[in-house]
Amino acid sequence: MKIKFVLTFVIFIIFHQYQNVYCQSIKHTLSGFIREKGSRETLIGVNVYFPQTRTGTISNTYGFYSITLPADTYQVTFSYVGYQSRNFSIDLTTSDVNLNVDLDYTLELSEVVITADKFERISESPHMSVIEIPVRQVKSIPALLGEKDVLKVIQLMPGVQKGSEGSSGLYVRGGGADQNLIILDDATVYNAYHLFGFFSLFNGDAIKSIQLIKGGFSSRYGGRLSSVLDINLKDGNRQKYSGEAGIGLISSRLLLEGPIIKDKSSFIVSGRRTYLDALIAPFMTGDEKGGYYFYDLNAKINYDIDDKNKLFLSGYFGKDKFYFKYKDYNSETEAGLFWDNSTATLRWNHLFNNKMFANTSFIFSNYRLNIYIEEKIDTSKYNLSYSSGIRDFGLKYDFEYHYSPTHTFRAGLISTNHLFTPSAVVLKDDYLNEFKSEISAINTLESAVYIEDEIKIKERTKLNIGLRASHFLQGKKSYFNPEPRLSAAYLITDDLAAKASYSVMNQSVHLLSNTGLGLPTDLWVPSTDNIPPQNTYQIAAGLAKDVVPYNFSISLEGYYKKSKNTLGYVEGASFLLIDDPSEAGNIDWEQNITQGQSWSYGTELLLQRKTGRLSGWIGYTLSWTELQFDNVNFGKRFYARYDRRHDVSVVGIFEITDKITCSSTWVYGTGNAITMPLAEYNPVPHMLFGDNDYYGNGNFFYGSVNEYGEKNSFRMAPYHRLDIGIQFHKQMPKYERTFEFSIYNVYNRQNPYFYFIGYDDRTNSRVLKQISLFPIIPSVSWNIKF
Amino acid sequence: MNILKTILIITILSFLFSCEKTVTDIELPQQEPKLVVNAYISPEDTIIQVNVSLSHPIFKPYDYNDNNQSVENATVKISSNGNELIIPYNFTDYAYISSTSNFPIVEGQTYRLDVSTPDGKSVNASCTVPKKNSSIQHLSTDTVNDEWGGKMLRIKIKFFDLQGVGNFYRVGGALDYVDLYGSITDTFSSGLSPKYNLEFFTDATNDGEDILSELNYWTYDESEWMHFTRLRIFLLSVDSHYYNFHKSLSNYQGDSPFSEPTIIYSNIEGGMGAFAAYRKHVINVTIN
Repeated sequence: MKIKFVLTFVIFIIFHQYQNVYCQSIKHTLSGFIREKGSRETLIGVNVYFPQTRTGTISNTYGFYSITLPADTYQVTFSYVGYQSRNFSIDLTTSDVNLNVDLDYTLELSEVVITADKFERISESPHMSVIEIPVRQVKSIPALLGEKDVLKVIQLMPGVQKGSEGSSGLYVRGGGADQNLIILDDATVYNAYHLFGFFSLFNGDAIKSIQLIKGGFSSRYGGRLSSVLDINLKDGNRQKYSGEAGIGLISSRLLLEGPIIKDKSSFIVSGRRTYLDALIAPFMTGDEKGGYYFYDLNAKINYDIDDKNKLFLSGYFGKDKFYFKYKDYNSETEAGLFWDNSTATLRWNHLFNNKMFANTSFIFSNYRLNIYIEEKIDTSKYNLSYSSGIRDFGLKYDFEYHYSPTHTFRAGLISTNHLFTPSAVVLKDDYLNEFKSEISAINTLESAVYIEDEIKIKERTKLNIGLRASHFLQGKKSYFNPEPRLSAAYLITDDLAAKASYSVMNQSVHLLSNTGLGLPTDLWVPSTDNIPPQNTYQIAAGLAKDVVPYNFSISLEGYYKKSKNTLGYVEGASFLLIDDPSEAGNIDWEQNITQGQSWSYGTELLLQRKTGRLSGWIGYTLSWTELQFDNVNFGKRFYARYDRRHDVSVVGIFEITDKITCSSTWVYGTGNAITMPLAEYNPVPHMLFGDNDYYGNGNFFYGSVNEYGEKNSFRMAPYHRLDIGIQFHKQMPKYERTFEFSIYNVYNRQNPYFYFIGYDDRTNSRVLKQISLFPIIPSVSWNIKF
Repeated sequence: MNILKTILIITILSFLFSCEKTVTDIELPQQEPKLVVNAYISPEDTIIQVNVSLSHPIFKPYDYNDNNQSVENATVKISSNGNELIIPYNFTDYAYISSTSNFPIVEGQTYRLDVSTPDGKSVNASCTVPKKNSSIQHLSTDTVNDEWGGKMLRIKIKFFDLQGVGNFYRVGGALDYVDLYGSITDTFSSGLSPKYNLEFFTDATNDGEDILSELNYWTYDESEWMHFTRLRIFLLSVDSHYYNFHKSLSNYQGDSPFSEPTIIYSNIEGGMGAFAAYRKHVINVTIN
């Protein structure tokens, strides 16, 4: 019914608009690519604005823009955050114009006092619930151990929360950490974390743009319930060779970029590796060795075939590994745990004409976890390898048609073959002469088609109407779900807009996590006959205001989200495979999960300043998240663990002089909701036969049990923390050097990581104890840019 | 360089050593000890047994004398349809026990249990006796080798679910044997393990259908089986309180910071435990 209504509405609007269009005179198109001056890196989201007619457009992911206007001469302004705006006079009286524009990066200190009054304004955008963070800010914000981390910066935004201390997982508007679609150059990243979630894969070096969408989703995106994190890698400098290098406490980084064929083709490679293992190696004896490392590698090349065709090949590879080796007189043991992620995307941009743009992507993504033990006693060998993972092959086609200033159409399709391997066990034992190889794999196909129209009605109203149809096929079971999407913005005054949105999302791939800590032992599984896709709808409404004289923006949004088929775990469920990896294949994960409902609602306030000598933001979130499962907590509703009533973050970056940048962040969040034991008691179960001491199948926990009260009814102490950092920049003859000193958790707040019941001998009673992770941690790093 | 080294060492140390302390900045849950009552009534049983004890609040100082002891001075009253019975305390079994001949347990009837203590604690609960399902059949018994070199006795059973009503079941089995090694020739019983997740179950997904189940007995020493005299298979039709309580108890994992705690079901108003009703059907199978 809802869909029918939306469709009728869409048809009406489109028809109405066409009529207007056809009644008007001859038209011409202005189009081209927008790049950064010097590096010739394409720029995403540049504002192209025509003051006379108050119309405009923005550049797409590939820096392409196109706008069709009635034949006339126009003034046009190209503006982009952090760049000098440029103005042009355009003559569209006789023909189409192709205009490629290079924007010059401004040193923010000169405070180019908003030359064009048309900076990127949030009140102008038809979208809501979208967060964009300039990569430069990510690099200025103090970070744990100096490791810059995109996901941790996103956690500082309203509506986004971290799970536990130090973790990079994102909990967006009450959604779980697995409900975020993280895409790197079109490829899905399944495990975006290093070292149990303390660091993320994205350190910002090779990243061009970061966008987090929390609601009002465009029909281009789908497959996850809560958010889309769209990350685009830089293409590489097309003019000259340049690079960046950094040495930090736990890792070193290097980035190189440059032209392959000047102005036609370029490359970029960037890598990072930790060296904790190298540092501790000297302290270990010859017979016992252990260590940990992670690394990542990004690479991208691009090639312009001609003006209308461009190719991009990008890839990511990252790995974490823990290992341990032990040797004595007759045996050698090596054991370890590693997980790796790799993605590859081949993209082909094609311009049909100056109004129609298309991109075709071939996508590969692979995530794998492996636990291994190799033992050699005298001459016999024992090998055990357990692995789990997911592998994707996908094809994606996106088409854009810049029909007129009032209509931009987008349509496309995506189809992905997921191969899930919940467990693969290979066991080889010479001594018992055993060989076992059990591989369980599930092949699925996830597809979607979408269409959307971005409509401008008169000068003040913008609409984005879209429909996505998603399909999931596993074995013989197939799930088809239509997903209507609608967002609207109305400009009340020149700098104040009211916005609203509605979107439906489905998720067919699920992450089973036994700890909620983002450990790599978490398992990706598909929807099956018994597990229909998770589904959510979200309604959001809000106000966006630009305070132009002071160059900052304020947004206030409220949202309501209702999900069904939400995945949960039956009480006492365990997916922890490390206990005995050889038995992993026997764990029936479908038995351990349950599906229910969830409700999430709240308000978010964001005051943000993206440029200038003082930049940063203040965010506040007031929110509620509740869950209900028929067979958890006896069917009663309860608060989610990460239900956070209040969440505050303050981020400030102050450029004192050309050479010194200070930054600081402070965060506060209500404590996690946990289940706390109130009392212990001895329940007496029913004896099935006789009065023998043996009872049932022996699974019973005999003795005392805890009385917990309601599930998640206890609040941990609130979380708060202050970080500060200072950067000293210096221009050397051949390079720019930055020395950074930062302190994490300045006032040494002992935030609880988890609680447990301890014992106090003096009072002869139990006490509540806590483990906290990171005390005050100073760090230094040294970076150069050449 | 020295400063850098010092910072490095401090950082690594602080990173590796997390901090433990006693929590003082939040209010801890406080409560008084509660009555813990467990009783399972059935027309197939000869007695009504009510176990009563006290819970121990987590943060209350230990007193080893009062910890988890049976409560002896409570007034335990069972009532139904205007009839009531005060059940006396039995000092040999540490429970309140009475014969069902004093107070019959009847199918379809609702029973209420009231327990109060002289210091003012008072709890109550009620349950209704479910219908009996006696459709169980023994299908087969065979043995299988397991991968660790042991042998498993596998007993397959089947029964029919009663359609239209929400049924809860428990299956179990016992192997009776005479101890030939010792001097005593008493009969002992060994429990059989129902197949994973099938000891307690509901007909939620297969209402009115045949239900297949399996009971296992596992051993390294096959000669043990020679001494078995009898196999008993139990089919219990239980009420929801019985099912929820035992199911949550069998899921109980203890307290760990990394797993979600299992909340033990209770239908005792104002206290903890379970007052539940069940029907028991037993079949005997001769072992060759």
